[in-house]
Amino acid sequence: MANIVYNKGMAEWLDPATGPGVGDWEWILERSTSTYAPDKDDESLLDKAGWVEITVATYARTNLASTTFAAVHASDQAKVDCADVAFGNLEAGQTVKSAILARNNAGNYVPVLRVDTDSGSLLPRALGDGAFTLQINTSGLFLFAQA
Amino acid sequence: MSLTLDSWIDANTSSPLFGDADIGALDRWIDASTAFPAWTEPVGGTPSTIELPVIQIAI
Repeated sequence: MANIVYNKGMAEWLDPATGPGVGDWEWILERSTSTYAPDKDDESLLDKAGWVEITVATYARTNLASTTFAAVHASDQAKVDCADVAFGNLEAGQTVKSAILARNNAGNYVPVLRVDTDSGSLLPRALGDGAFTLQINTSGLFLFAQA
Repeated sequence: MSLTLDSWIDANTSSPLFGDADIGALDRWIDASTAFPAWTEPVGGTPSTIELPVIQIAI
């Protein structure tokens, strides 16, 4: 399935009370054995039927970091950017199906973005003991533009 | 069945492939190896860098 932006998560992303820098936004890796059927209407993640997360020993959800907002006048867009996401060396034996950005609301993770189709077509990707990194696109994480 | 190094050496002393000279060489190799730097876990493995696409949102 294509990458999706969730409705509730985007509302919380834009809300000054819960947006980046205020809310606890984290990157989560979904495992290939997950049968979770993502829906833009989803307002939580971990309690969804079929959801399976990566569980190798050193895996940990990783905080969103260094979020920035900038105008891109040349293309009449507003750019949201953030730091690349380094999960460290992840043990082999499991396969990453997707990367999800979500807000930890007292354990109820509200997803805003699910990426299962990356630019380099590496997903799904088997872990191989090496560094596992999500590289944010040079154009940013989100681009907002007038339709 | 598991073999210890000693039992493997014992088992192979009668092998045409492993004469006394070979066993002596193995002993010397083991002795020399004790002076090697400590064994370390391999570093690295297969790295994965997943490049995310930019998500464009129309307003």
